[in-house]
Amino acid sequence: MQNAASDLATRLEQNIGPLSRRCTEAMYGDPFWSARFGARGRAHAEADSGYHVKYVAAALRADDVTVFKKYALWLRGVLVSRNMCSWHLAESFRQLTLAMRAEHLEGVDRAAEVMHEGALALGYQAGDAGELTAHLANIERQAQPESCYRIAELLSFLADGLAHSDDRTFACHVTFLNDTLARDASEHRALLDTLRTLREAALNLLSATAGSRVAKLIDSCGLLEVPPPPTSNDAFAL
Amino acid sequence: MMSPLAERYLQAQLDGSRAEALAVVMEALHQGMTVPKIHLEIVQAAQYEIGRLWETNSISIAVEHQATAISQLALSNLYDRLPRAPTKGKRVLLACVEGELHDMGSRIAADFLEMDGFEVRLLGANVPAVSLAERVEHYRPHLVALSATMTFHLPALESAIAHIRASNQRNVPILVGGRAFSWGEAIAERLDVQGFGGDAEQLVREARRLTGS
Repeated sequence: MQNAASDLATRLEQNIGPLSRRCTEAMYGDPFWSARFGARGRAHAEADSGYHVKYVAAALRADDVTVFKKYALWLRGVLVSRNMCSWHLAESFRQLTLAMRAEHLEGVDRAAEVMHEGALALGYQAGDAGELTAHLANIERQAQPESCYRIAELLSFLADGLAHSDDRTFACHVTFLNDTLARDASEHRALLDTLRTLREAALNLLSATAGSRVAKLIDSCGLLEVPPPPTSNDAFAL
Repeated sequence: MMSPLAERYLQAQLDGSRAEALAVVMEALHQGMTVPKIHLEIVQAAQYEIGRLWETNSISIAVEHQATAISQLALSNLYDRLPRAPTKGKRVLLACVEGELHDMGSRIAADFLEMDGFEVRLLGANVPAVSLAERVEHYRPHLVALSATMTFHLPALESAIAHIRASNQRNVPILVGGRAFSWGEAIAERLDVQGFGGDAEQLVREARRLTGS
């Protein structure tokens, strides 16, 4: 059994080049990547894909999926400080799995399991980020995803922002979408509608603390008109 | 929490000032700080912080390299000042496995072993397995210590061990260490090695045990 895992690890390492290129090609089919990170980002993405393969191979050889899970968690910390989110990393794992299957590598199911575990490890379990993660399905249902703009990515940036007490990265991402990617009027409208829906869903579904933190992150983008809080004089308004 | 001296050393690294970094090290010595403490509480502590700053995108990779180069210089300047226990008459050969470029840990480990009275040969970074085994045959150490920082260098570690085990020094005790093991604690248990050194001080204890000194 372990020889099979070692053999798979060797096959993966022998195919790092084709796997990395195929994975990056697929990811860069989304215009977000080139627009956001350019050619330099693409070079980094391809290099990172190579490291994903190396760590999958290391986990297979060690017969210990923890090796890859810890790599995923460490890499997430590096990437969220570089304007990426957990969903981007999980997506790169998904694309790499597809690349492995497309290269018809024998025994790839085991590697796919390792990467799946790595993606699962990125889910937050505790704190406000954990609470948001636990309500993702409800929030997406409430947001009616068919009319939403890049909702999984937005939710991931929100969760990362909560977990890392980072008020900046979500706003940078939304500003980028608003200024660069959502140029079509309907896309722009969908982005604003998505932000409003996420804000309302967070306030309705999450605890007061978590909900208000999410609302504050969304408000910090400055794209939504937020009604002022009621004052005591309002009670006497005719 | 870093000490004021460590903070000043770190700032010197970030500024790229080799002179200031060495001045901090000299000041630490004049204040009576021991060389082992300077290794661990100034140089190593600052290096860990440098790593954290890079991970959080607070500094670039160029600044990280600049900082590491300064620490290499600091360790070189401290070498003549290493307090040395009486020689044990035991030889230790240290190397980073093939492909492994992070050699700071092995440099600190080499210094700690020399301070403890071991005779040390440090081969440095990225040592090919074949060449490593030839060196082991030539030097006939009482102990070989191999370092791997990146977990995906474990195949290179296994290759190094296999080449040593195929040499005429096949029974030499082998210690492994490095941050490669921090993501899979059981990995070391699967290797044909006799000990594990998580840090420089643990490495010295293991070296004493394995060489009977």
